[in-house]
Amino acid sequence: MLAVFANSNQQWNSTHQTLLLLQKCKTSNDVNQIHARMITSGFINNTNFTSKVITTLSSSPYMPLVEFARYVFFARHAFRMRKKREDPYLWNAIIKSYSHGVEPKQALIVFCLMLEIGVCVDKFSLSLVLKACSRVGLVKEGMQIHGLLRKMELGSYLFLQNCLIGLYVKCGCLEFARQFFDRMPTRDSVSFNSMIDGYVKCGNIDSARELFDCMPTKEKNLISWNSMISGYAKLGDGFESASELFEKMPERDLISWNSMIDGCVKCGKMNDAQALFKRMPKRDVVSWANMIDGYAKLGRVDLARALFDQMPGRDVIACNAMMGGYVQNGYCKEALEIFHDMQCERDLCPNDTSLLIVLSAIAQSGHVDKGIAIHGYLAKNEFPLNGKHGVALIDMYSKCGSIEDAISVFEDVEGKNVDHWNAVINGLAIHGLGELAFDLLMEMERLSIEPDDITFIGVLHACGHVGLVKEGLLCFELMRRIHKVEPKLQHYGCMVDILGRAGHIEEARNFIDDMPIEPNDVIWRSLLSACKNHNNLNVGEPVAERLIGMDSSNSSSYVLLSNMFAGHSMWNDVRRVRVMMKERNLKKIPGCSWIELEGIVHEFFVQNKSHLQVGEIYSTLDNPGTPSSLVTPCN
Amino acid sequence: MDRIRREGYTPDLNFALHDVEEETKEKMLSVHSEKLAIVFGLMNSGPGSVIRIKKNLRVCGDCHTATKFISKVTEREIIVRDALRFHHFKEGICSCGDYW
Repeated sequence: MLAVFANSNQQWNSTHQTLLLLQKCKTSNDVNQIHARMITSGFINNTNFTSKVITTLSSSPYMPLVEFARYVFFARHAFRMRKKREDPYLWNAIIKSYSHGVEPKQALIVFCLMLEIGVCVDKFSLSLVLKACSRVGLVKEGMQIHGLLRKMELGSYLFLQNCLIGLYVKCGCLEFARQFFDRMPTRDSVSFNSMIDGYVKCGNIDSARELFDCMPTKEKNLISWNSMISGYAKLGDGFESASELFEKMPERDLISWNSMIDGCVKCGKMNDAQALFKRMPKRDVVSWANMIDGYAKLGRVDLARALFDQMPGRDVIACNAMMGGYVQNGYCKEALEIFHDMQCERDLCPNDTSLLIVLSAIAQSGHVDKGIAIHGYLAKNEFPLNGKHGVALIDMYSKCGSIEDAISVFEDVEGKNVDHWNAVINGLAIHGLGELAFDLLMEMERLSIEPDDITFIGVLHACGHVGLVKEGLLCFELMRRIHKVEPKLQHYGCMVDILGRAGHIEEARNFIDDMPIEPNDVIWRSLLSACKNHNNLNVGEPVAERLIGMDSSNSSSYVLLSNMFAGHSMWNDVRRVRVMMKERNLKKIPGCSWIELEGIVHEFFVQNKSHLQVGEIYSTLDNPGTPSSLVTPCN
Repeated sequence: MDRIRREGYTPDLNFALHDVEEETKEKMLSVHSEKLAIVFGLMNSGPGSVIRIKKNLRVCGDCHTATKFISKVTEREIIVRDALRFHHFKEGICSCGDYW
């Protein structure tokens, strides 16, 4: 583009041409060159021209142009002498560049500057700054602006009133918004829809419905219907109401259909979702992605994949839905294949979500090499690690066995949040580094970082794996008494596990008896497991019977019971339990191990005879005479 | 197997929870999936490389003991990720401290 400068026939005396060139710029380098030209040509002093520059560039999608517009404004216009009651349209353009852009808070600062200098604000300035406040949740400042609005006697403008409703609703002040709404002499569809949307988003579907029903028909539009439908669809029990509205609505658009499908997916009603999907006059990526996600949530990855393959023009969202579906159902290899395909295809660039999903897949599969590659990609593209990506990386390294790398990533993150701490504590737990995990909890206390219930689960797990009973009890009390976190079933489960593994079976049993909430099967099974390990049939047998009573289809309870009997050589009882399992058609989950060598994963079941090298393997295990085979390098 | 026996490994028959002869019990223990995977790994990888195994259930006591011996005798680091946690076997010791 800039090669055009070499042509001496360009009309450099034209501001119009310069403006056109400016609009073609994309980087600050480009802009700087035109700026230089503006200075040398004297155009920079032409207020008409600079005004046009400001108004044209302030709404550009390219940040360097927006920044240039702001620079020109503050250098040339903001502080010059002005007429009284001059139209603040340039100020408004700059405020808008902030209120609708990436730093909405700055809009308020510019507005305050306007007031300070004595520039006349108009209703547009007010509407823009109210929008900025609603985006950032600055309700107090918004109320001050509300006051200013009233003082300026601009309170009767409907669109400003709507901005105010928007502000209060987005800041969560629903009652205040409703009071204001009720006092409005006239309202339009925007007023109603803002209130309805506000009620829906905070879960008050009944108030939303009340407003919707008393809305005058001429104001009711597609947005109103869609808000109600999506509000009902998101509730577990709102499906019927959503369907009813859906069938009644005078016209539908893509959002209506997608909201209904989303509602079906949330209830697991895939047949209804499929019917809607077929009926839809048009589908978009969201429709396909919702369907894929819906099938995956039900475990039907085959159907999800069939849809994915059928889809015309796949995009990142659909790929993410498919990858996520695979990961949810444990198909890590397939998830990684999708990611690989995404990287190969030119128009499918993995986005933030893709990276999170693939890191999750790698954590499950244990392929640390792929994890290192993703880490490299994140580093090369300067992804900040103080968000979800950092957490996912720590988790991936932990689950792939590289706790040192996990700790290293954790230490490098600037601006850690509680999720990062949780990820590293969990990693330490599964590596048996319980003392370190407990130390980290103490460190969090020192740094006044508020632990959450997941932090405590991690620390309790860590204590359980290493037998730190005292620390576990301390942690539990810390959670309950100091941080006032109500222990959940998982916390109780961890405590039973800690006590049980250390052999304090009676204490564990008493702990369960003292629980204020009903223990679930996981907790009983922890106790049963501990009984089996410490050969305590007295406590163990009734627990096993109780577990079998709770859920007669879970084979592990039977197995633990039979193993306990076997440990006491009570073979008749072992046989009795095994017969019970057979009668109920239950099979023990067979032990299975995986090993990855040179990119291929080899699977071994107990007594496996299907692997290619099985002969050699068995001979090594049986035959004592060939020790050298164990140290021969691979061919 | 002979080498680890010489180092002091004796199959812990308590982990073979079936009502059968001792010899059969020994044979049954010897074909647990972790042992199969570890031997395969030893056979197919170079000296000094780490062997990584993943198991769907909790590692049994006998396999745990055997793997400790194997790691000592073959001078290899073996990492086993079971359903609950990691076990790093190196030079005859496991990171879990035999508490798992």
